[in-house]
Amino acid sequence: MLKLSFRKRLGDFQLEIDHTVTEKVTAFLGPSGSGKSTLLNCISGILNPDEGELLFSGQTLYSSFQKKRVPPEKRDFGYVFQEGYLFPHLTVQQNISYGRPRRPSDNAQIDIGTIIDILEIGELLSRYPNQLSGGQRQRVAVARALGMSPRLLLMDEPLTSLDAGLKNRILPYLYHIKEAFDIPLLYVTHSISEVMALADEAFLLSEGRITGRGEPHQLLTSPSALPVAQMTGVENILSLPVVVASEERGVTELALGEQRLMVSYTQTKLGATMPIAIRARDIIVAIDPDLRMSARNILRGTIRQIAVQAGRVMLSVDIEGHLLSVEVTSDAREQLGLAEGTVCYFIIKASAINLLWES
Amino acid sequence: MLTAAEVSALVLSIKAASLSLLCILPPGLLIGWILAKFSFPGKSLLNTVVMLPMVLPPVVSGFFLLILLSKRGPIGGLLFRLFGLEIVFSWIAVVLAISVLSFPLLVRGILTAIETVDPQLENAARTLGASPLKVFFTVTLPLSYRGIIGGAILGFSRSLGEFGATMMVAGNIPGKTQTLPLAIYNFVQVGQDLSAYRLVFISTLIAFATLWIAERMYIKR
Repeated sequence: MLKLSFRKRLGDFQLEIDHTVTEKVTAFLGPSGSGKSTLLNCISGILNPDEGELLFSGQTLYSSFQKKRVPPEKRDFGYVFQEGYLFPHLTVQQNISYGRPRRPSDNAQIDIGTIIDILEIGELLSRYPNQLSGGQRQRVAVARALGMSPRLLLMDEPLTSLDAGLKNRILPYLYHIKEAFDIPLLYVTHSISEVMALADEAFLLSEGRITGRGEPHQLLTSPSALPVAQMTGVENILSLPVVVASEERGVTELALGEQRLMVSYTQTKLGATMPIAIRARDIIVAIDPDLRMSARNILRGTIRQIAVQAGRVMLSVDIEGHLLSVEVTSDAREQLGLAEGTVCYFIIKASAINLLWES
Repeated sequence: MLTAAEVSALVLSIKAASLSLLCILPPGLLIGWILAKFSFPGKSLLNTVVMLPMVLPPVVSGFFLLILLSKRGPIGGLLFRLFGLEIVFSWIAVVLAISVLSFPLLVRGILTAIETVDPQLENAARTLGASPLKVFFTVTLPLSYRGIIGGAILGFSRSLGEFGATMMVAGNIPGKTQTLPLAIYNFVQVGQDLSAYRLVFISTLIAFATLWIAERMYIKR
């Protein structure tokens, strides 16, 4: 569908990519400075690569070999910018209809009313961008990009400028858009939860290169996602099935083989898979399981490997076939006599478990 | 009250400055836009040529115009042969002189105004299907019009005060090419101090008002 095969140099930085994007929703995950925006700018035509080619559905949009470059206005790609970039002199309504194609015969056109309904911006239409909150602004930015009936929707960290609470409120809108419109979506972010929530396929982007690709849950829970872990500071990402969801007790229980992991209650379906993240230093190691304590999650596992990196002792722990990274001090390691093969207990406070997406 | 000579100088000045502004605004926008948005070989040269009258002594600019526009000059000669038009020492020469002299100020204002518009907004418009021209008229211009008006007002008041170049190429013919500053100079020369005072007062008033409005335009965004 979208063939990306080009190089682009910007100062000391170089983006180099040679991949074909085929899924409906594709996410590029990488830290800031990894080339995410450069990639989107090249796809949208705002920037031109130095060399290579870029094809969409067989149409050449850029080719250094054929000396061809289709300007951004002829590509029909919607672009949602990180900062929104709504036109400050136009009302919400005018912003949304700015990119409206002037060809009413085109039946592939998206109905503006549908966009407004899905994004719930009907009451904002007569306002100006400076009269909107951050979340409203981003929704209007999405609506504006959809309003042009794009062939492809590009999103550059549309949620990054929002605070955490707002993010979780906007994310479902993006999910609805994915479901409601038949438009492929190319999403760039440094947030694992957004990728988990939206993407059919994920690419890991690091220093201008693709370092991994695959189905998001598989890709992000595999050990090869180490760069992602490092960049987000979360070492353990697991995707676990829900076995109990009790609103009364306020807990959701996830299965880790025969053992259970309790997290705070979220609306979910039994059997659904829930991606979670746990930091290595939020896991406590105990030799004796019979301590009386408030923490509800006490998991039994075996230490497979001990690595010392930069003064940190990292245990690689096998819990029912899942490998988790656990950080301890070298003092603790000596006093508890931790060694490879030691069976011990791992205590995790429910609040230390981050839900990446409530599915 | 003003005498007929004073009124005619005032009216001529305002007419010429208005007509000049009308003529240089479109090319000013175009060149300001080109200088703000594009990089191309010879850009510095274009910039220098456009800005030159700002630092050149006005008399020198006027001298160049005189050479170009006289009946034996390349432009003036052509116009004379084709239309029998004599530009030098006519009101057209007044308009041309003040146009050349106020053009840099106008372009500077437009350039600065356009540069204050975030290029990402223009990029956003491009991705929404707008050609560069449509982007200019629907995004760049509406977002920079205050600065552009400010620049236009400054150019206009510069036109009203132009002396050296006008004197060179249009002369100082009362009722025909005698603008406000030229009239003031004349009145002082012949000792009509009262007339000079009145025109000086009017000049100062106009300059003050235009500058003040231009400042407001720049500040209130």
